[in-house]
Amino acid sequence: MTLYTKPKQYSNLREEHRSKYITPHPNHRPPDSLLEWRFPLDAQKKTQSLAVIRQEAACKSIRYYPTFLEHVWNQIRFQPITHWLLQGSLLLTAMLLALYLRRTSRGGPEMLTVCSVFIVFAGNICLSQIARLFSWHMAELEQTLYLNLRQMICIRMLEAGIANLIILVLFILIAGGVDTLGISVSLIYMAVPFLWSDILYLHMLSHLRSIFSGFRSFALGLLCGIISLLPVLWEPVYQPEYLIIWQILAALGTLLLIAEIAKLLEKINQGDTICVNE
Amino acid sequence: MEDRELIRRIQNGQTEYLNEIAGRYYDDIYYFCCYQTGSREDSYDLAQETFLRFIKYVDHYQYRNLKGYLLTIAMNLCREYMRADCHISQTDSIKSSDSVSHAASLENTLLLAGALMKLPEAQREAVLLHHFYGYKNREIARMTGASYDAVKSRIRQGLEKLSRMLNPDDFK
Repeated sequence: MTLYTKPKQYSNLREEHRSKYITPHPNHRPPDSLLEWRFPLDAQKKTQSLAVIRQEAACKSIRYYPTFLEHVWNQIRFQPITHWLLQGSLLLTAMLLALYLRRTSRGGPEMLTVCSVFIVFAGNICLSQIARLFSWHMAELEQTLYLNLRQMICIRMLEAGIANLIILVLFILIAGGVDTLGISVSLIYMAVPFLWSDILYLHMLSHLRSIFSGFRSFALGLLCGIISLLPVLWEPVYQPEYLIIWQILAALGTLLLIAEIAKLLEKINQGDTICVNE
Repeated sequence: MEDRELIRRIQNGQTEYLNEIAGRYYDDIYYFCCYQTGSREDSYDLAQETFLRFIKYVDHYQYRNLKGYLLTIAMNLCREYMRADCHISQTDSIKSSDSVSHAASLENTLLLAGALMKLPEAQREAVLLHHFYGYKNREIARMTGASYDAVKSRIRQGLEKLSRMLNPDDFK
């Protein structure tokens, strides 16, 4: 007797499972000794048990929790018009500059520098909105409207990441890509200024209470973005012999950024100075 | 009505549909608890607690496989139960309560229950979910938190032990 050679019983089992128990594994057939595993239940005890469940169900009041996508949509919906104008103008400038670079056939370091500058500024515009989350009584809103500050921070970062990706794709598509250096090397060149600028910006956001108001945090974002211009001052930095330094900076930057994000989220949980509303 | 529709209605405030879910899956959860703990009496409480926990967290429920979700809750409750001190004296209660009234008709069930109780907890869990409830190894891995290979191995080892304890011809 083998496990899978009893068509009659097998089909009965399949029907039983399909109709009553919605089995997710229709081709499965257990050994014969495992077939008779159901026995009659004590009807009285089952009824009692179901009555308790019914009572609990009657008392249950359902609370509405927005999904992550709903949070994303809400956050996007309530972004101020100035934010969209800034991002739009940045994107437009990036497109025009990419087209210019293509026409003048300039690639390599120039393309990398321009692209990394735009990535940093697009990211920092999004991150400057994080400061808004800690003002205007957002903590109270979190309690009343089921808004989760951690989720909101993640949404801002997600938004910054998407803005960066758009700009990166734009430069690769319009300006003709980064063929000469290779995609991984180019990504390191572009990611390092972004990482270090973000680390500095997040550090200031989580440590300096005086920058919570919109314009000051935005100005600080621009200031941090200047980091991305540093490679312009010393062009040989894009030479292959300095690649190892870029790689070390990228690895260090990734670790520090993770630490900064963790610290920021921890402060939200523990209610440090960052959660004091202005 | 499909599970997804039931959940949608419940999350929209129609909590009376929780009873329909309980009615639909009570037996499945009960049998799982029963074979997992070996206690026919306590399994009523465990099945009930499974649904009470489900009711508590139904607001957040967002999975596709409702039965799998309930079985996972039941599995965790059974693990807690088995780790408690009180389970030792009750492991034979399937046999003792059934042997009086249904001994003749439920001989195979009793043998199976006895054999299953001799398996290690993880193997019993995997065999139950795979052979009684028809879940695939990958799904069991997700439910139990074990790796795919571990689940596969647990089922194989569990079946080997069962075949030695039960009729070996059935397992060939």
